[in-house]
Amino acid sequence: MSSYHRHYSDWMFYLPKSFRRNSSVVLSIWLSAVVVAICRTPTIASDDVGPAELNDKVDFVRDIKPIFQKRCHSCHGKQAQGGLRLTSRVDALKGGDRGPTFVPGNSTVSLIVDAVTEKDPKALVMPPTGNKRLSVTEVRLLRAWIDQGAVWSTDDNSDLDKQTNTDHWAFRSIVRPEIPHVKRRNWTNNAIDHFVLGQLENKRVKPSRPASRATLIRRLSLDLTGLPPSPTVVTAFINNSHPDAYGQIVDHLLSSTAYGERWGRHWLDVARYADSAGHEMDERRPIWKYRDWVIRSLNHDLPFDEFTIEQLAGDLLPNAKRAQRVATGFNRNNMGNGPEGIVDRSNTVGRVFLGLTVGCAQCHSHKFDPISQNEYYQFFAFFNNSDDPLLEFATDAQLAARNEIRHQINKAKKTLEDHGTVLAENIEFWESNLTVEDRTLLDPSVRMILDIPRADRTPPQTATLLQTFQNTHVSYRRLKDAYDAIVSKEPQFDATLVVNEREQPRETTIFIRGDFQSRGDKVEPGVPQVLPPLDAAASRSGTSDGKRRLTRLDLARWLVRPDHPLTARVTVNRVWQHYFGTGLVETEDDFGTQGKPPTHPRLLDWLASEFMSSEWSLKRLHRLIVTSATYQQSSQFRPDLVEIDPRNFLIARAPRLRLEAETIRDQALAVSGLLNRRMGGPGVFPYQSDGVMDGRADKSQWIMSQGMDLYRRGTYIHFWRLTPHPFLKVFDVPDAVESCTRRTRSNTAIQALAILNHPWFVDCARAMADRLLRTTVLGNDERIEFAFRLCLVREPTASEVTALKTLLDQEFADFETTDSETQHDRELAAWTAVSRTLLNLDEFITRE
Amino acid sequence: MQLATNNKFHARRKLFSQCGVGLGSIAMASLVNDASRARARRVNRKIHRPLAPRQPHFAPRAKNVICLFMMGGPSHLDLFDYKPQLEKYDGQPIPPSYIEGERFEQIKDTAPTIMRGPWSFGRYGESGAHVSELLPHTREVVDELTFVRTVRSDETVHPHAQLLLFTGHRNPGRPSLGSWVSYGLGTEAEDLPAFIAFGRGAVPQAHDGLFANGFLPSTYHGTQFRNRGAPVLNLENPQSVTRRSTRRVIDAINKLNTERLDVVGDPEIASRISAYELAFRLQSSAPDLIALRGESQATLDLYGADLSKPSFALDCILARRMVERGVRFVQLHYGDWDHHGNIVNAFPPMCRAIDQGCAGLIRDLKTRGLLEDTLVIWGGEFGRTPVAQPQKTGRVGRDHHVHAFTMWMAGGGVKPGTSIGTTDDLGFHPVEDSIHIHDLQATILHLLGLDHERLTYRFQTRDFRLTDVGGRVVEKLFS
Repeated sequence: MSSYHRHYSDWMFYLPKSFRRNSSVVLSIWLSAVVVAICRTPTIASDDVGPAELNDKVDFVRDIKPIFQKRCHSCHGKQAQGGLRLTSRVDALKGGDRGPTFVPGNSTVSLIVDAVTEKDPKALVMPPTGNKRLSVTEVRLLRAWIDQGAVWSTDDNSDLDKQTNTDHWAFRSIVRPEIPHVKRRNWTNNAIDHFVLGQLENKRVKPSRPASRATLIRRLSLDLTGLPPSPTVVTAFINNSHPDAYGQIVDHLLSSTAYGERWGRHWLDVARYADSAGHEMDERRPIWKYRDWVIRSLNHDLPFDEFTIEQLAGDLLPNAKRAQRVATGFNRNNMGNGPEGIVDRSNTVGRVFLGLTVGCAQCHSHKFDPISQNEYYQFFAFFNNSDDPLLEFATDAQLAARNEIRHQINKAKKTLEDHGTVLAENIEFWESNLTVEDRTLLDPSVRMILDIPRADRTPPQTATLLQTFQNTHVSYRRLKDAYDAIVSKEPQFDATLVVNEREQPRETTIFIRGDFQSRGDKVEPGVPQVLPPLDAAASRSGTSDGKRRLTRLDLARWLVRPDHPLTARVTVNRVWQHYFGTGLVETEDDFGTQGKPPTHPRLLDWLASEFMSSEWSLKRLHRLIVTSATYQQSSQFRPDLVEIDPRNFLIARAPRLRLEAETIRDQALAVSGLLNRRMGGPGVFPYQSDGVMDGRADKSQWIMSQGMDLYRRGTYIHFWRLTPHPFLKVFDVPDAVESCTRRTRSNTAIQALAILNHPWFVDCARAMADRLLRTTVLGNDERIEFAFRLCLVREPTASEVTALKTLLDQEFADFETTDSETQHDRELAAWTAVSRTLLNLDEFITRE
Repeated sequence: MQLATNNKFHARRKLFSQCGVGLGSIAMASLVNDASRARARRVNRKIHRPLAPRQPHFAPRAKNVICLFMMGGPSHLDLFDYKPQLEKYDGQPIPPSYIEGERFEQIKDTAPTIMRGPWSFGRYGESGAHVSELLPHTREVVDELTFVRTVRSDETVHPHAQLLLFTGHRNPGRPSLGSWVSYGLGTEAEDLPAFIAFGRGAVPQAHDGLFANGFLPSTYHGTQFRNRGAPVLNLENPQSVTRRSTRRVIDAINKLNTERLDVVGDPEIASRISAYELAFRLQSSAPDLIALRGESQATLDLYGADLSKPSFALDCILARRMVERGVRFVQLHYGDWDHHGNIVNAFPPMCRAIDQGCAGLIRDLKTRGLLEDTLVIWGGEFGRTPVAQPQKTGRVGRDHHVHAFTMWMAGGGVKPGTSIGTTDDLGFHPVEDSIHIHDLQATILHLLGLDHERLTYRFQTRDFRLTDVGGRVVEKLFS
């Protein structure tokens, strides 16, 4: 059956019911509707692209069960209307008042097919309400399933209504699928292309032509490093005649440290990284070492299984290294404290690694996925057993030395204070005996205080006066100097938030209805039953009774076990999503039964399996994806796809993606030559508008960084949860309140204003103009061409050059003077307008 | 060559017919070759105005909307839905018949007890509407208000309930009410966004979902104003750059963007072109809009606003200035009204914070002759239970309640000084005129001249609408 061939009865579905019922009256309208419909390109619904790979065997659980549940069970589930229940194969075969529902192997004589296709509208139409009727795809699946023998799940008697969804696709283990055969083998570069092209050929859709080399180098560079390629790199690539020039540039980019910054930022989104605590106080907190650890680990291509283990449980590794403890900062990025924070830690791991909305089971057993409330708290128990210390970057000797200094500080402070108290007794005497001359030597602000009657002075005024008086004594000043000197000696160490497992386990109970004040039964750490078992006996170092309390380390190792069905799938899906805008599973944070099924289930499994067998190497995964022909397609929109696949689920072209906030800025800094590539360290504070920090309870200020720190990459900008930098926010940076697995991509006038007028971009436009003027080329045309190569990695068209030259001329004309002194200013202003134009282009802020 | 161009033309016509209202004809026209350049220029102007005013389906009763969203779910029982029986049965278990099959969001007691409202009620205005003592200003304008006492939601948790209220669906991804309205009607405010969202207090649990465009073109995304510092940043041209220069730069940007649209056909580029046009106009219109200093002392007093203190009252003045300038849909959120515990102490300050602002807004709109054309809607994502939610601290509150809760509307074609719907003696269930969120949405669209069944958008082969598969216009509300 192909999507191009539809039965008459299928078409009926497109017509309002009144048309169908009253056919004689509306026949002419109906006919014209059919004609219009037929003239349109055949339509593929998204769910069409989903589970149904048409030449495949229909899978009951994946394809048919959801149809029964969605369309039929409200009447033919528990209720058995008309005597029919469609909840087990036995019941369905038995049928209802009208006889058996279907005849396995022959859909053409099956009652259910007649009913859903409305073969005889007068006899039987199901479902009776219009909005529940089956889609064309669903009908096709149902027919195919019956024709293939109507195989139910494992047990013909099993009752769908009672059954949990344990046989959901995502809970089945990953089996490496066969690579499908395709007709256009010469199009394919690697296995990915076989899976993608296989589906395209099934739907008779052609893939897009490859993007130009220029587009590809820009796409690759932005995708892999978040920075534009320099003109030299571009030229080298385009002129490289080596057969594997493309592979070489991929390797080059993957080995750049910018790769870790780019993909680290993606990871920091899911890790809900921020430099402050959130809530009303939003205190600053030191955790940038964790951010740097992420970037470094990705640059070293730390295998993803180790990457996972170190972040979840680095502290529990035997002889944990400091870096492994720093990694546990992953657990510390939550906002809430106490049980609320632990809830967030559990839900984050559930979402990031399992791709499940485990949080739903916090108050009650999950309504759709097989996770009971008991299991939720078993999962929670893993995280409910840690202390939350601050790890200082100091040796024991350094810490001892600091303790000694702190002791001295306290001593010096006491001496100073004691002396001050003694002196204070004489302050009134001093005040009343001040001569006019003495007074003139005092600071005006102190003189002002002296003029206020003693009783009316505020406490700070009294304190100021006392200090002034004390400082008139050499003895006091000497003690003060000594105190200051010793304070200045106190060493400051870098520090970062980490977790440590408690020695005495904390008891975990169910929180009834999610209320941590209502404790239910006690639970021990454990994993949901639907997933591979994790038992203490199987792990090392059991206690004498053979049982041992499971820890985060057990959990982390379990997550990356080769038989785990979720971690690898969820991870490759998220990586895929960054390249294609949408994951193979569109609901990247819900692989449960309420999520969308994968558009390419076999590709997903193949990638997951390949990822694990390449030792969880992310760089190899990236290489695999970006060297595919699928990735290298043009992103040009195709009229033929707009109707049949508007969301590009088939991937018959590359997506066009608006860049992320940080990348938009990094790129502008790079092309203007301002970018400071220094890596790591505490967050930086580039320019921010006044008023953003207004009304903060902690009174923190945004004190602008100095010098080249203003031009560091966006990843390093200090992130206040309560008051994120407005530019970042306007371009959809997540708020770090909880884990973010996908950013939105909005498109607003406020964004336009930001790139037009924000001082960051004004700086960039001026610097870029300066750069253009400093190039040795002379003519305006050549400068414009150079600017295009810098910003867009392509040559301008003739009309683009004309448009920018017109702009230049108009800008020049605005300067009336011909004074040679101002000639440079004049050129700079005009070229700044040109640069401002380029930095604002849709193409500039988009990866094509 | 000729043939190729032609094919390209037809292909693109098909392509852009999918881009949504306005953008279609337009973007296509920009693709025509030199021969029809003049026409292209003419139509091109429209690219920049995908929000040009559009004819409603029928004569509208209101033109603009101000939605005062009380986030968290204020207690209808302590504000508008007076229930003397709560007093009488205070502390007694609620009869099981009321709560059969009920799943409260947080209350876990199987026999929760009835809780009286700690505050007194009076009847006000000619309409004699009941209003709590906590709203001394609102009660002065009751004759302008239409109370809907039986709004019904399906969702008992905040994010889903907020999304249902604003997008007609519990999950994210659908267009919000304001986006639908700007898609259906465009805007008469050439120089301001059609749809502005702002507010203060807690971050809404549904985040941007409250004003997101969903699958509609991104032009219909609500524009968010800031609540700290200036409401809109980056309005000023860079130092030593003239407005004329910015105009020229934007012309160049849009010219180049239009060329790119020709080449790649991404409808996002069309949205961006209109965003740059609006950005330019905002540079002159927004400073005027947000210049609250121009408000007279009398106006400030009417709202109880103080220019030096950011407040809901000041936000209400800003909202009025927006509709005055033709903004189609203003969405102002305030709160956290989520009083599970300590309602006695936490509730009154919230009421104080909004009371005079709401009343001032109604009066001010009326005085300025704006109320007839402006529909004001006040309400939360749900109400609160007549039964107590006890806390370990002893400070009781009320849980979420979805079966019947109160919203009020004013202006724009609703019948002033009336109320629709009755709840039972405990304010638990509706006994007359249950009004589902979809009904409310259908009604709001109707007041704006839009038929909720005809305001559709085709996405993934299906015609979607705000009211999903429900919605019934509540004509009783109309004046």
